[in-house]
Amino acid sequence: MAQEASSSTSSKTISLKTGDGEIFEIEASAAKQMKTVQRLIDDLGDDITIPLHNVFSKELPKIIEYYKKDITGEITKDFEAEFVKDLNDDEVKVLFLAANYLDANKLFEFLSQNIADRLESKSVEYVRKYFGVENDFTPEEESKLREERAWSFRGIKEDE
Amino acid sequence: MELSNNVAFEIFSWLPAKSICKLKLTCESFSEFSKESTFKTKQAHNLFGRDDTCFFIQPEQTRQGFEKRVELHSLPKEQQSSGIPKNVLTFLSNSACVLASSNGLVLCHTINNNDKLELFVCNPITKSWSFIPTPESLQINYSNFANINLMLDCSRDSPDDFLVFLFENTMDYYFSPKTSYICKVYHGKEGVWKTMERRFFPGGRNMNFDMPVFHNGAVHIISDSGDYFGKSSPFYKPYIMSYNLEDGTSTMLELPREATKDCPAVWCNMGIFNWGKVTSYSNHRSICLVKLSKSAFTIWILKDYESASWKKVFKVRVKDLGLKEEKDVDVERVGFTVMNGGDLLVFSTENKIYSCRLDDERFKMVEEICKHNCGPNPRFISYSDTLRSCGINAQTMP
Repeated sequence: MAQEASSSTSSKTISLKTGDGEIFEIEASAAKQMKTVQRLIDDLGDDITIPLHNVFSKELPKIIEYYKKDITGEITKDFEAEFVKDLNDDEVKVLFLAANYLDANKLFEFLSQNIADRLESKSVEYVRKYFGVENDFTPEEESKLREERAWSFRGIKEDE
Repeated sequence: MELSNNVAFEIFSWLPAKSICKLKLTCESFSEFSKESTFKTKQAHNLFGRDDTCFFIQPEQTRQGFEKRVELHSLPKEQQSSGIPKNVLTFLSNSACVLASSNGLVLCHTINNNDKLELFVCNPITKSWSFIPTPESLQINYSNFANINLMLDCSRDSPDDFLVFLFENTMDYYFSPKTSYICKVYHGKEGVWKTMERRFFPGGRNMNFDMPVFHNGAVHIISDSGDYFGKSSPFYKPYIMSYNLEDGTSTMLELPREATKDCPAVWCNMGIFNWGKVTSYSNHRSICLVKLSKSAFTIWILKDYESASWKKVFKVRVKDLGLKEEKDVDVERVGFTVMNGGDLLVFSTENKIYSCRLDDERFKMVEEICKHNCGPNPRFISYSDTLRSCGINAQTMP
């Protein structure tokens, strides 16, 4: 895909190539918000297609959509709600990790908050699976902790 | 797919404190990082300005001397993720009176039977507290709980600091009129009380110090509405007096005419609260006035500060609220507050607490939250659970 190089930086677009080989275009000003991308541009120049090995074609368009809104100052509560509405917990995790890799701060914070909201009332087991961690407490430690924190378990609903 | 520890750190820092306590059981390293002070600071910072999820309720000030009770209730939908440990609540209920709360810190004074009145700021979740030296004026007045005018303010930018404001009555209680108050400010970080140069002049009326509104760099207090001035006095009608926290100027703010047309009156229940929120999308804060008359709640918001122009935004008749009460609601015994910048009107009848959503004029959704035992006209203080530190001298609560 040929890239237009124009003299004014505001309409300049950058080509990004995902880990599974697809190419997407974003505005240079949006690319600035993703520090990893900006670093690669600084190293490789902005005329080349920037390779993003850890981001895939499923997530990148969504991220680009977010930053398109960001540079025009149109991010509202409703937009953000719509943005995550149809994503399940795993999809939002993948998006979150991509934002982390791209060092895209605003999206990263927004998704952290969203994940926290989703995890707020989930069980400890669910959270362990979500983060991919093992329960490394001994049974004695665990029962002691549960007892101390019994109050924080009040009112937990079953996992969906 | 595995998520690394610092990613978990980030996500957990957006959770309310109760959820964090529960999720410490996930694994060892999560339990560890949640104890670090950088984590606690981040969490308090992230949750600053978010909606409060619960509220304390206590008997009204004059009853607090003999009726020791503090209850904490969660708002509807927040029961799972908000609250404090039961033993902490019991401790507070037996020995303290809650005065104010901000960003997860709670300001209290002790109500023991021995002579000393002590002040402290605590975080019920981290179970830490920090005592504040009691100013002399309060030591003398300990038996008269109605005269303790204290407020708490936590700022977002200085996580170790908090401010406690005290308005001291300069005249002996039995001499009238009360013409001025000395404002003393306690800086949590420095650990000292400083006196403001200029006094607060609230005009001629008695002021209602237990619902202060911090706005525009000033604290706003509403007056009472008793009938003790003649028509020609500037204080004939009730008003709001603001005290600028930087330069100490006292300024009167007029109330909407519609609200005061039946004042002065023997009984008139008005309160002021913060309205509007500061979010990442907008910054529209103002003050609202809630009036409970014999038959209805009416709410006005201050549209323009400089010109004191108000706009009525809400009115609901008490009988239209559809409350399931055993007998007719005695409006004189109802206590109320506005939470979360105008999302909810929370009010109490003799035995129950209700919330009413304020975001839709036509469809007033009223929910019963819970029952309570705090008697008539209880005091409400809203709260959200964070891990904010109590600053220097923080010790563990018994």
